[in-house]
Amino acid sequence: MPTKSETQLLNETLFEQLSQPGMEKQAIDAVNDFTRIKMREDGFYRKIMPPLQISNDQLDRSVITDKPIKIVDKEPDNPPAVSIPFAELPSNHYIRGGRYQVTFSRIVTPRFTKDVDELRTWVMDIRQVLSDNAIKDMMAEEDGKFIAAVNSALIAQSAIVPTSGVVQWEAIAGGITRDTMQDAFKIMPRTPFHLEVHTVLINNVTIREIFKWGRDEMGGDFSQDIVRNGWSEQEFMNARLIVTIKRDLVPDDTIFMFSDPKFIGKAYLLEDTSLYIKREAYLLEFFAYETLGGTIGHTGGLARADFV
Amino acid sequence: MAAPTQMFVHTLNPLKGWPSQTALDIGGKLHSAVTIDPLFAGRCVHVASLDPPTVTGGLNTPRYKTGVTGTKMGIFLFQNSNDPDVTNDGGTDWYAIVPTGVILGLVATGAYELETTEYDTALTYAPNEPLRAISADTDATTGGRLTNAGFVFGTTAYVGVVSRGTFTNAYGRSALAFWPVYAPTASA
Repeated sequence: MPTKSETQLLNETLFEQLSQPGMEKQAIDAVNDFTRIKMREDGFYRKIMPPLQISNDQLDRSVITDKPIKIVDKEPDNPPAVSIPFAELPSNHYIRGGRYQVTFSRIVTPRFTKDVDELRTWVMDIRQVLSDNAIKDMMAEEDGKFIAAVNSALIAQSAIVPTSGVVQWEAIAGGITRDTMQDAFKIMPRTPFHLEVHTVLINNVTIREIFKWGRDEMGGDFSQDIVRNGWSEQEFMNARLIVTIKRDLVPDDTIFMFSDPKFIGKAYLLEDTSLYIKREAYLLEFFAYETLGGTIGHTGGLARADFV
Repeated sequence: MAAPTQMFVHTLNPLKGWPSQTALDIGGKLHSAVTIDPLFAGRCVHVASLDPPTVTGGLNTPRYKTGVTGTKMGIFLFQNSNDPDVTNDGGTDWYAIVPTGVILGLVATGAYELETTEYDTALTYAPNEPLRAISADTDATTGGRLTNAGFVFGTTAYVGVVSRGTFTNAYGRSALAFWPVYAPTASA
Protein backbone atom coordinates (compact mmCIF):
# COMPACT_ATOMS: atom_id res chain seq x y z
CA MET A 1 0.00 0.00 0.00
CA PRO A 2 1.70 3.25 -1.10
CA THR A 3 1.86 6.19 1.28
CA LYS A 4 0.01 9.44 0.52
CA SER A 5 3.16 11.10 -0.78
CA GLU A 6 3.99 8.06 -2.93
CA THR A 7 0.45 8.12 -4.35
CA GLN A 8 0.75 11.81 -5.19
CA LEU A 9 4.07 11.15 -6.90
CA LEU A 10 2.49 8.32 -8.92
CA ASN A 11 -0.39 10.60 -9.91
CA GLU A 12 1.96 13.38 -10.97
CA THR A 13 4.01 10.94 -13.04
CA LEU A 14 0.86 9.64 -14.69
CA PHE A 15 -0.33 13.17 -15.44
CA GLU A 16 3.05 14.07 -16.86
CA GLN A 17 3.00 11.02 -19.11
CA LEU A 18 -0.55 11.69 -20.27
CA SER A 19 0.14 15.33 -21.04
CA GLN A 20 3.37 14.86 -23.02
CA PRO A 21 3.08 13.78 -26.63
CA GLY A 22 4.62 10.36 -27.13
CA MET A 23 4.49 9.47 -23.44
CA GLU A 24 0.92 8.13 -23.39
CA LYS A 25 2.17 4.59 -23.88
CA GLN A 26 4.09 4.66 -20.60
CA ALA A 27 0.97 5.85 -18.80
CA ILE A 28 -1.14 3.13 -20.39
CA ASP A 29 1.47 0.46 -19.61
CA ALA A 30 1.54 1.54 -15.98
CA VAL A 31 -2.22 1.14 -15.66
CA ASN A 32 -2.33 -2.05 -17.74
CA ASP A 33 0.20 -3.86 -15.54
CA PHE A 34 -1.78 -2.86 -12.51
CA THR A 35 -5.09 -3.95 -14.06
CA ARG A 36 -3.92 -7.34 -15.30
CA ILE A 37 -2.53 -8.33 -11.91
CA LYS A 38 -5.82 -7.41 -10.25
CA MET A 39 -7.86 -9.32 -12.86
CA ARG A 40 -5.88 -12.47 -12.16
CA GLU A 41 -6.22 -12.08 -8.40
CA ASP A 42 -9.85 -11.14 -7.99
CA GLY A 43 -12.08 -13.01 -10.47
CA PHE A 44 -13.14 -16.58 -9.73
CA TYR A 45 -13.62 -17.55 -13.40
CA ARG A 46 -9.92 -17.17 -14.04
CA LYS A 47 -9.08 -19.21 -10.96
CA ILE A 48 -11.34 -22.09 -11.94
CA MET A 49 -10.54 -22.07 -15.66
CA PRO A 50 -7.18 -20.29 -15.95
CA PRO A 51 -7.14 -18.74 -19.43
CA LEU A 52 -4.27 -19.49 -21.77
CA GLN A 53 -2.83 -16.78 -23.95
CA ILE A 54 -3.38 -17.86 -27.55
CA SER A 55 -1.41 -16.55 -30.51
CA ASN A 56 -2.53 -16.06 -34.11
CA ASP A 57 -0.76 -19.18 -35.34
CA GLN A 58 -2.66 -21.32 -32.82
CA LEU A 59 -6.06 -20.23 -34.15
CA ASP A 60 -8.02 -22.37 -36.59
CA ARG A 61 -9.38 -21.10 -39.90
CA SER A 62 -12.78 -21.65 -41.47
CA VAL A 63 -14.18 -21.11 -44.93
CA ILE A 64 -17.37 -19.58 -43.61
CA THR A 65 -15.85 -16.86 -41.45
CA ASP A 66 -12.68 -14.88 -40.91
CA LYS A 67 -13.41 -14.61 -37.20
CA PRO A 68 -11.07 -16.41 -34.82
CA ILE A 69 -11.94 -19.98 -33.79
CA LYS A 70 -10.06 -22.63 -31.84
CA ILE A 71 -11.06 -26.26 -32.23
CA VAL A 72 -10.25 -28.51 -29.29
CA ASP A 73 -10.13 -32.30 -29.45
CA LYS A 74 -12.01 -34.41 -26.95
CA GLU A 75 -10.93 -37.84 -25.89
CA PRO A 76 -13.15 -40.33 -27.78
CA ASP A 77 -15.58 -42.34 -25.66
CA ASN A 78 -15.10 -46.08 -25.91
CA PRO A 79 -17.47 -48.91 -25.16
CA PRO A 80 -16.30 -50.97 -22.19
CA ALA A 81 -14.29 -54.16 -22.38
CA VAL A 82 -16.33 -57.33 -21.87
CA SER A 83 -15.68 -60.86 -20.72
CA ILE A 84 -16.32 -63.40 -23.45
CA PRO A 85 -16.06 -67.14 -23.84
CA PHE A 86 -13.55 -68.86 -26.09
CA ALA A 87 -14.14 -68.47 -29.80
CA GLU A 88 -16.27 -65.30 -29.54
CA LEU A 89 -14.82 -62.36 -31.43
CA PRO A 90 -14.87 -58.73 -30.21
CA SER A 91 -17.61 -56.41 -31.44
CA ASN A 92 -16.56 -53.55 -33.67
CA HIS A 93 -16.41 -49.92 -32.71
CA TYR A 94 -15.49 -47.33 -35.31
CA ILE A 95 -13.69 -44.51 -33.51
CA ARG A 96 -14.96 -40.97 -34.00
CA GLY A 97 -13.13 -38.23 -32.19
CA GLY A 98 -15.33 -35.57 -30.64
CA ARG A 99 -14.38 -31.93 -30.80
CA TYR A 100 -15.66 -28.65 -29.52
CA GLN A 101 -14.94 -25.13 -30.52
CA VAL A 102 -14.00 -22.01 -28.65
CA THR A 103 -15.06 -18.79 -30.33
CA PHE A 104 -14.08 -15.34 -29.27
CA SER A 105 -15.77 -12.10 -28.42
CA ARG A 106 -14.86 -8.93 -26.63
CA ILE A 107 -15.65 -7.65 -23.18
CA VAL A 108 -15.53 -3.90 -22.87
CA THR A 109 -16.24 -1.44 -20.10
CA PRO A 110 -18.21 1.75 -20.56
CA ARG A 111 -16.18 4.68 -21.84
CA PHE A 112 -15.36 6.77 -18.78
CA THR A 113 -14.74 10.49 -19.19
CA LYS A 114 -13.39 13.10 -16.79
CA ASP A 115 -12.11 16.64 -16.95
CA VAL A 116 -8.42 16.38 -15.97
CA ASP A 117 -8.61 19.50 -13.82
CA GLU A 118 -11.13 17.75 -11.61
CA LEU A 119 -8.62 14.96 -11.10
CA ARG A 120 -5.98 17.34 -9.71
CA THR A 121 -7.61 17.30 -6.30
CA TRP A 122 -7.74 13.54 -6.07
CA VAL A 123 -5.46 12.05 -3.45
CA MET A 124 -6.39 8.50 -4.39
CA ASP A 125 -4.11 6.59 -6.73
CA ILE A 126 -5.51 7.42 -10.19
CA ARG A 127 -4.17 4.12 -11.54
CA GLN A 128 -6.28 2.43 -8.91
CA VAL A 129 -9.38 4.43 -9.80
CA LEU A 130 -8.98 3.79 -13.52
CA SER A 131 -8.26 0.11 -13.14
CA ASP A 132 -10.81 -0.50 -10.38
CA ASN A 133 -13.57 0.74 -12.64
CA ALA A 134 -12.40 -1.59 -15.36
CA ILE A 135 -11.78 -4.55 -13.10
CA LYS A 136 -15.13 -4.38 -11.35
CA ASP A 137 -17.03 -4.34 -14.62
CA MET A 138 -15.01 -6.91 -16.50
CA MET A 139 -14.77 -9.42 -13.68
CA ALA A 140 -18.49 -9.20 -13.13
CA GLU A 141 -19.04 -9.96 -16.81
CA GLU A 142 -16.54 -12.84 -16.90
CA ASP A 143 -17.76 -14.42 -13.67
CA GLY A 144 -21.41 -13.87 -14.55
CA LYS A 145 -21.14 -15.48 -17.97
CA PHE A 146 -19.16 -18.38 -16.53
CA ILE A 147 -21.77 -19.16 -13.89
CA ALA A 148 -24.55 -18.78 -16.50
CA ALA A 149 -22.81 -21.36 -18.70
CA VAL A 150 -22.34 -23.72 -15.75
CA ASN A 151 -26.01 -23.45 -14.82
CA SER A 152 -26.99 -24.08 -18.47
CA ALA A 153 -24.78 -27.16 -18.60
CA LEU A 154 -26.27 -28.52 -15.37
CA ILE A 155 -29.76 -27.66 -16.73
CA ALA A 156 -31.70 -27.38 -13.45
CA GLN A 157 -31.92 -28.79 -9.96
CA SER A 158 -32.62 -32.55 -10.12
CA ALA A 159 -32.41 -32.59 -13.95
CA ILE A 160 -30.48 -35.34 -15.70
CA VAL A 161 -27.50 -34.06 -17.66
CA PRO A 162 -27.60 -35.70 -21.12
CA THR A 163 -23.87 -36.32 -21.41
CA SER A 164 -23.59 -38.11 -18.06
CA GLY A 165 -27.10 -39.52 -17.65
CA VAL A 166 -27.16 -38.51 -13.98
CA VAL A 167 -28.18 -35.51 -11.89
CA GLN A 168 -25.28 -33.13 -11.29
CA TRP A 169 -27.26 -30.33 -9.59
CA GLU A 170 -28.72 -31.75 -6.42
CA ALA A 171 -30.75 -30.44 -3.51
CA ILE A 172 -29.31 -31.84 -0.29
CA ALA A 173 -31.47 -31.74 2.83
CA GLY A 174 -30.11 -31.15 6.31
CA GLY A 175 -28.24 -27.86 6.04
CA ILE A 176 -24.46 -27.59 5.76
CA THR A 177 -22.87 -30.20 7.95
CA ARG A 178 -19.89 -32.44 7.60
CA ASP A 179 -22.18 -35.22 6.43
CA THR A 180 -24.11 -33.18 3.86
CA MET A 181 -20.88 -31.68 2.55
CA GLN A 182 -19.59 -35.20 1.95
CA ASP A 183 -22.85 -35.97 0.11
CA ALA A 184 -22.25 -32.93 -2.08
CA PHE A 185 -18.74 -34.11 -2.86
CA LYS A 186 -20.20 -37.43 -4.08
CA ILE A 187 -22.13 -35.79 -6.96
CA MET A 188 -19.19 -35.45 -9.33
CA PRO A 189 -17.54 -38.85 -8.85
CA ARG A 190 -20.96 -40.51 -9.33
CA THR A 191 -20.97 -39.55 -13.02
CA PRO A 192 -19.57 -42.09 -15.51
CA PHE A 193 -16.45 -39.92 -15.72
CA HIS A 194 -15.51 -40.45 -12.04
CA LEU A 195 -13.87 -37.05 -11.67
CA GLU A 196 -13.00 -35.71 -8.25
CA VAL A 197 -13.75 -32.24 -6.91
CA HIS A 198 -10.75 -29.98 -7.36
CA THR A 199 -12.26 -26.56 -6.55
CA VAL A 200 -15.27 -25.47 -4.52
CA LEU A 201 -16.91 -22.09 -5.03
CA ILE A 202 -18.95 -20.72 -2.14
CA ASN A 203 -20.12 -17.27 -1.12
CA ASN A 204 -19.00 -15.29 1.91
CA VAL A 205 -22.28 -15.82 3.75
CA THR A 206 -22.54 -19.56 3.26
CA ILE A 207 -18.94 -20.08 4.38
CA ARG A 208 -20.06 -18.94 7.84
CA GLU A 209 -22.08 -22.13 8.11
CA ILE A 210 -18.77 -23.99 7.93
CA PHE A 211 -17.32 -21.65 10.56
CA LYS A 212 -20.00 -23.02 12.87
CA TRP A 213 -18.59 -26.50 12.67
CA GLY A 214 -17.19 -27.56 16.01
CA ARG A 215 -13.89 -29.16 16.85
CA ASP A 216 -15.51 -32.58 16.58
CA GLU A 217 -16.60 -31.90 12.98
CA MET A 218 -13.69 -29.93 11.64
CA GLY A 219 -10.70 -31.06 13.63
CA GLY A 220 -9.03 -29.32 16.57
CA ASP A 221 -6.33 -27.02 15.25
CA PHE A 222 -8.19 -26.19 12.04
CA SER A 223 -11.33 -25.20 13.94
CA GLN A 224 -9.30 -23.08 16.35
CA ASP A 225 -7.47 -21.38 13.50
CA ILE A 226 -10.70 -20.43 11.71
CA VAL A 227 -12.29 -19.02 14.85
CA ARG A 228 -9.16 -16.93 15.47
CA ASN A 229 -8.23 -15.82 11.99
CA GLY A 230 -11.26 -16.34 9.72
CA TRP A 231 -11.03 -18.06 6.37
CA SER A 232 -8.37 -17.73 3.75
CA GLU A 233 -8.11 -19.64 0.50
CA GLN A 234 -6.91 -23.07 1.45
CA GLU A 235 -7.42 -26.78 1.01
CA PHE A 236 -10.73 -28.04 2.26
CA MET A 237 -11.71 -31.71 2.07
CA ASN A 238 -8.85 -32.14 -0.41
CA ALA A 239 -10.21 -29.36 -2.63
CA ARG A 240 -9.32 -25.72 -3.09
CA LEU A 241 -12.01 -23.47 -1.67
CA ILE A 242 -12.77 -20.10 -3.29
CA VAL A 243 -14.91 -17.69 -1.31
CA THR A 244 -16.68 -15.01 -3.34
CA ILE A 245 -18.72 -11.97 -2.35
CA LYS A 246 -20.82 -12.31 -5.54
CA ARG A 247 -23.96 -13.63 -3.88
CA ASP A 248 -26.00 -12.76 -6.98
CA LEU A 249 -24.00 -15.38 -8.89
CA VAL A 250 -23.35 -17.91 -6.14
CA PRO A 251 -26.53 -17.99 -4.03
CA ASP A 252 -26.60 -18.57 -0.30
CA ASP A 253 -26.51 -22.23 0.81
CA THR A 254 -25.13 -23.30 -2.56
CA ILE A 255 -21.74 -24.60 -3.60
CA PHE A 256 -20.40 -25.11 -7.09
CA MET A 257 -17.83 -27.85 -7.56
CA PHE A 258 -15.31 -28.11 -10.35
CA SER A 259 -12.85 -30.77 -11.39
CA ASP A 260 -9.29 -30.06 -12.44
CA PRO A 261 -9.39 -27.30 -15.10
CA LYS A 262 -8.15 -29.64 -17.83
CA PHE A 263 -11.36 -31.66 -17.48
CA ILE A 264 -13.74 -28.69 -17.72
CA GLY A 265 -12.91 -27.02 -21.00
CA LYS A 266 -10.75 -24.30 -22.42
CA ALA A 267 -10.45 -20.60 -21.81
CA TYR A 268 -8.29 -18.50 -24.09
CA LEU A 269 -7.17 -14.91 -24.08
CA LEU A 270 -6.61 -13.43 -27.50
CA GLU A 271 -5.94 -10.02 -26.00
CA ASP A 272 -5.51 -9.58 -22.28
CA THR A 273 -7.17 -6.74 -20.43
CA SER A 274 -6.01 -3.50 -21.98
CA LEU A 275 -6.84 0.06 -21.21
CA TYR A 276 -7.45 2.66 -23.89
CA ILE A 277 -6.66 6.11 -22.57
CA LYS A 278 -6.90 9.30 -24.56
CA ARG A 279 -6.53 12.88 -23.49
CA GLU A 280 -7.96 15.50 -25.79
CA ALA A 281 -7.39 19.02 -24.49
CA TYR A 282 -8.71 18.83 -20.92
CA LEU A 283 -10.95 15.79 -21.33
CA LEU A 284 -9.65 12.39 -20.38
CA GLU A 285 -11.46 9.33 -21.68
CA PHE A 286 -10.70 5.70 -21.07
CA PHE A 287 -12.16 2.25 -21.38
CA ALA A 288 -10.84 -1.26 -20.88
CA TYR A 289 -11.33 -4.20 -23.19
CA GLU A 290 -10.24 -7.77 -23.65
CA THR A 291 -10.80 -10.44 -26.29
CA LEU A 292 -11.41 -13.87 -24.90
CA GLY A 293 -13.12 -17.16 -25.57
CA GLY A 294 -14.26 -19.88 -23.22
CA THR A 295 -16.16 -23.13 -23.61
CA ILE A 296 -17.18 -25.81 -21.16
CA GLY A 297 -16.30 -28.85 -23.21
CA HIS A 298 -16.91 -31.53 -20.61
CA THR A 299 -19.92 -31.28 -18.35
CA GLY A 300 -18.66 -34.14 -16.18
CA GLY A 301 -16.31 -31.68 -14.49
CA LEU A 302 -19.17 -29.67 -12.98
CA ALA A 303 -21.51 -30.15 -10.04
CA ARG A 304 -23.75 -28.00 -7.89
CA ALA A 305 -25.31 -28.62 -4.49
CA ASP A 306 -28.11 -26.56 -2.96
CA PHE A 307 -28.35 -27.21 0.78
CA VAL A 308 -31.93 -27.03 1.99
CA MET B 1 -24.53 -31.28 -49.28
CA ALA B 2 -25.37 -27.61 -49.19
CA ALA B 3 -22.47 -25.35 -50.06
CA PRO B 4 -21.10 -23.48 -47.06
CA THR B 5 -22.31 -19.91 -46.75
CA GLN B 6 -19.49 -17.47 -47.28
CA MET B 7 -19.05 -14.57 -44.91
CA PHE B 8 -19.99 -11.99 -47.58
CA VAL B 9 -23.30 -13.50 -48.77
CA HIS B 10 -25.51 -11.64 -46.28
CA THR B 11 -24.07 -8.33 -45.17
CA LEU B 12 -24.72 -4.89 -43.84
CA ASN B 13 -22.09 -2.49 -45.12
CA PRO B 14 -22.08 1.02 -43.76
CA LEU B 15 -21.11 3.11 -46.79
CA LYS B 16 -20.86 6.30 -44.74
CA GLY B 17 -20.84 7.27 -41.07
CA TRP B 18 -19.53 4.09 -39.43
CA PRO B 19 -17.24 3.09 -37.80
CA SER B 20 -16.86 6.01 -35.50
CA GLN B 21 -16.07 6.26 -31.80
CA THR B 22 -19.32 8.16 -31.40
CA ALA B 23 -21.54 6.03 -33.67
CA LEU B 24 -25.01 5.20 -32.42
CA ASP B 25 -24.90 1.44 -32.15
CA ILE B 26 -26.56 -1.03 -29.80
CA GLY B 27 -26.06 -4.64 -28.72
CA GLY B 28 -28.98 -7.00 -28.24
CA LYS B 29 -30.08 -10.62 -28.45
CA LEU B 30 -32.84 -12.23 -30.49
CA HIS B 31 -36.24 -12.56 -28.82
CA SER B 32 -37.35 -16.12 -28.15
CA ALA B 33 -40.26 -15.58 -30.59
CA VAL B 34 -37.80 -15.24 -33.47
CA THR B 35 -37.35 -18.71 -34.88
CA ILE B 36 -35.43 -17.67 -37.98
CA ASP B 37 -32.03 -19.33 -37.69
CA PRO B 38 -29.83 -17.76 -38.73
CA LEU B 39 -31.19 -14.25 -38.93
CA PHE B 40 -28.90 -12.61 -41.44
CA ALA B 41 -26.82 -9.49 -41.17
CA GLY B 42 -28.51 -6.60 -42.93
CA ARG B 43 -31.99 -7.48 -41.67
CA CYS B 44 -33.95 -4.85 -39.75
CA VAL B 45 -35.22 -5.47 -36.23
CA HIS B 46 -36.64 -3.52 -33.31
CA VAL B 47 -36.35 -3.77 -29.53
CA ALA B 48 -39.30 -5.90 -28.43
CA SER B 49 -38.37 -6.40 -24.78
CA LEU B 50 -35.57 -5.87 -22.30
CA ASP B 51 -33.65 -8.28 -20.10
CA PRO B 52 -32.72 -6.71 -16.77
CA PRO B 53 -29.01 -6.31 -16.02
CA THR B 54 -27.28 -9.11 -14.13
CA VAL B 55 -25.18 -6.59 -12.20
CA THR B 56 -26.38 -3.52 -10.31
CA GLY B 57 -25.76 -0.41 -12.39
CA GLY B 58 -25.70 -2.33 -15.65
CA LEU B 59 -27.83 -1.60 -18.68
CA ASN B 60 -30.81 -3.66 -19.81
CA THR B 61 -30.15 -6.00 -22.73
CA PRO B 62 -32.55 -5.51 -25.65
CA ARG B 63 -34.34 -8.45 -27.26
CA TYR B 64 -34.93 -8.05 -30.97
CA LYS B 65 -37.92 -8.97 -33.08
CA THR B 66 -38.00 -8.55 -36.83
CA GLY B 67 -39.37 -5.61 -38.80
CA VAL B 68 -40.76 -2.26 -37.81
CA THR B 69 -44.34 -1.04 -37.37
CA GLY B 70 -45.92 1.90 -35.54
CA THR B 71 -43.44 3.82 -33.41
CA LYS B 72 -40.76 1.12 -33.24
CA MET B 73 -37.19 2.19 -33.92
CA GLY B 74 -35.43 0.32 -36.71
CA ILE B 75 -32.12 -1.38 -35.96
CA PHE B 76 -29.96 -2.88 -38.71
CA LEU B 77 -28.04 -6.02 -37.79
CA PHE B 78 -24.33 -6.02 -38.44
CA GLN B 79 -23.68 -9.71 -37.74
CA ASN B 80 -25.45 -12.93 -38.67
CA SER B 81 -27.07 -14.48 -35.62
CA ASN B 82 -24.84 -17.57 -36.05
CA ASP B 83 -21.53 -15.73 -36.42
CA PRO B 84 -18.87 -17.13 -34.09
CA ASP B 85 -18.50 -13.86 -32.19
CA VAL B 86 -22.28 -13.93 -31.54
CA THR B 87 -22.89 -17.53 -30.59
CA ASN B 88 -21.12 -20.85 -30.09
CA ASP B 89 -23.97 -23.29 -29.83
CA GLY B 90 -22.82 -26.79 -28.97
CA GLY B 91 -26.23 -28.25 -28.16
CA THR B 92 -25.68 -30.47 -25.13
CA ASP B 93 -22.11 -31.35 -26.14
CA TRP B 94 -20.53 -28.07 -25.12
CA TYR B 95 -21.55 -24.79 -23.55
CA ALA B 96 -20.04 -21.44 -24.45
CA ILE B 97 -19.09 -19.08 -21.65
CA VAL B 98 -18.62 -16.38 -24.25
CA PRO B 99 -19.94 -15.28 -26.72
CA THR B 100 -23.43 -14.81 -25.35
CA GLY B 101 -25.67 -14.07 -28.33
CA VAL B 102 -25.28 -10.31 -28.51
CA ILE B 103 -25.59 -8.89 -32.05
CA LEU B 104 -24.41 -5.41 -32.95
CA GLY B 105 -27.07 -3.21 -34.52
CA LEU B 106 -26.91 0.24 -36.10
CA VAL B 107 -29.81 2.39 -34.96
CA ALA B 108 -31.90 4.01 -37.69
CA THR B 109 -31.45 7.52 -36.30
CA GLY B 110 -27.67 7.26 -36.67
CA ALA B 111 -26.01 9.34 -39.35
CA TYR B 112 -25.21 6.62 -41.85
CA GLU B 113 -25.66 5.51 -45.39
CA LEU B 114 -26.06 1.74 -45.36
CA GLU B 115 -25.87 -1.05 -47.92
CA THR B 116 -27.79 -4.26 -47.30
CA THR B 117 -28.14 -7.54 -49.15
CA GLU B 118 -31.43 -8.17 -47.32
CA TYR B 119 -34.16 -6.66 -49.48
CA ASP B 120 -36.80 -7.88 -51.90
CA THR B 121 -34.72 -8.30 -55.05
CA ALA B 122 -37.81 -8.86 -57.22
CA LEU B 123 -38.69 -5.16 -57.06
CA THR B 124 -37.08 -2.00 -58.41
CA TYR B 125 -36.01 0.85 -56.19
CA ALA B 126 -35.74 4.51 -57.14
CA PRO B 127 -33.91 7.17 -55.12
CA ASN B 128 -35.99 8.75 -52.33
CA GLU B 129 -38.44 5.86 -52.17
CA PRO B 130 -39.34 4.89 -48.62
CA LEU B 131 -38.42 1.39 -47.40
CA ARG B 132 -40.28 -0.58 -44.79
CA ALA B 133 -39.05 -3.59 -42.81
CA ILE B 134 -41.28 -6.64 -42.69
CA SER B 135 -42.33 -8.05 -39.31
CA ALA B 136 -42.30 -11.84 -39.61
CA ASP B 137 -40.45 -13.56 -36.79
CA THR B 138 -40.88 -17.06 -38.17
CA ASP B 139 -40.43 -16.39 -41.89
CA ALA B 140 -36.79 -16.80 -42.89
CA THR B 141 -37.41 -15.27 -46.32
CA THR B 142 -39.13 -12.04 -45.36
CA GLY B 143 -38.53 -11.48 -41.64
CA GLY B 144 -36.69 -8.16 -41.24
CA ARG B 145 -36.20 -7.75 -44.98
CA LEU B 146 -36.55 -4.33 -46.63
CA THR B 147 -39.08 -3.64 -49.36
CA ASN B 148 -40.82 -0.69 -51.01
CA ALA B 149 -43.96 -2.74 -51.62
CA GLY B 150 -47.11 -2.20 -49.57
CA PHE B 151 -46.08 1.23 -48.37
CA VAL B 152 -48.87 3.75 -47.71
CA PHE B 153 -47.68 7.21 -46.77
CA GLY B 154 -48.94 8.23 -43.33
CA THR B 155 -50.05 4.70 -42.53
CA THR B 156 -46.94 2.55 -42.85
CA ALA B 157 -43.85 3.12 -40.75
CA TYR B 158 -40.69 3.23 -42.79
CA VAL B 159 -37.05 2.72 -41.80
CA GLY B 160 -35.08 4.01 -44.76
CA VAL B 161 -34.99 6.06 -47.90
CA VAL B 162 -33.34 4.73 -51.05
CA SER B 163 -30.08 6.58 -51.68
CA ARG B 164 -27.96 5.04 -54.45
CA GLY B 165 -30.41 2.27 -55.29
CA THR B 166 -29.54 -1.30 -56.17
CA PHE B 167 -26.21 -2.53 -57.48
CA THR B 168 -23.91 -5.54 -57.46
CA ASN B 169 -21.50 -5.07 -54.60
CA ALA B 170 -17.80 -5.86 -54.54
CA TYR B 171 -18.54 -9.47 -53.51
CA GLY B 172 -20.87 -10.03 -56.47
CA ARG B 173 -24.06 -9.82 -54.39
CA SER B 174 -27.14 -7.72 -55.04
CA ALA B 175 -27.28 -4.83 -52.61
CA LEU B 176 -29.47 -1.86 -51.86
CA ALA B 177 -28.08 1.46 -50.60
CA PHE B 178 -30.24 3.63 -48.38
CA TRP B 179 -30.25 6.19 -45.62
CA PRO B 180 -31.87 4.89 -42.43
CA VAL B 181 -34.60 7.08 -40.95
CA TYR B 182 -37.08 7.04 -38.10
CA ALA B 183 -40.56 7.56 -39.59
CA PRO B 184 -43.20 6.25 -37.19
CA THR B 185 -46.94 6.08 -37.63
CA ALA B 186 -49.78 6.16 -35.16
CA SER B 187 -51.06 2.77 -36.27
CA ALA B 188 -49.23 -0.26 -34.91
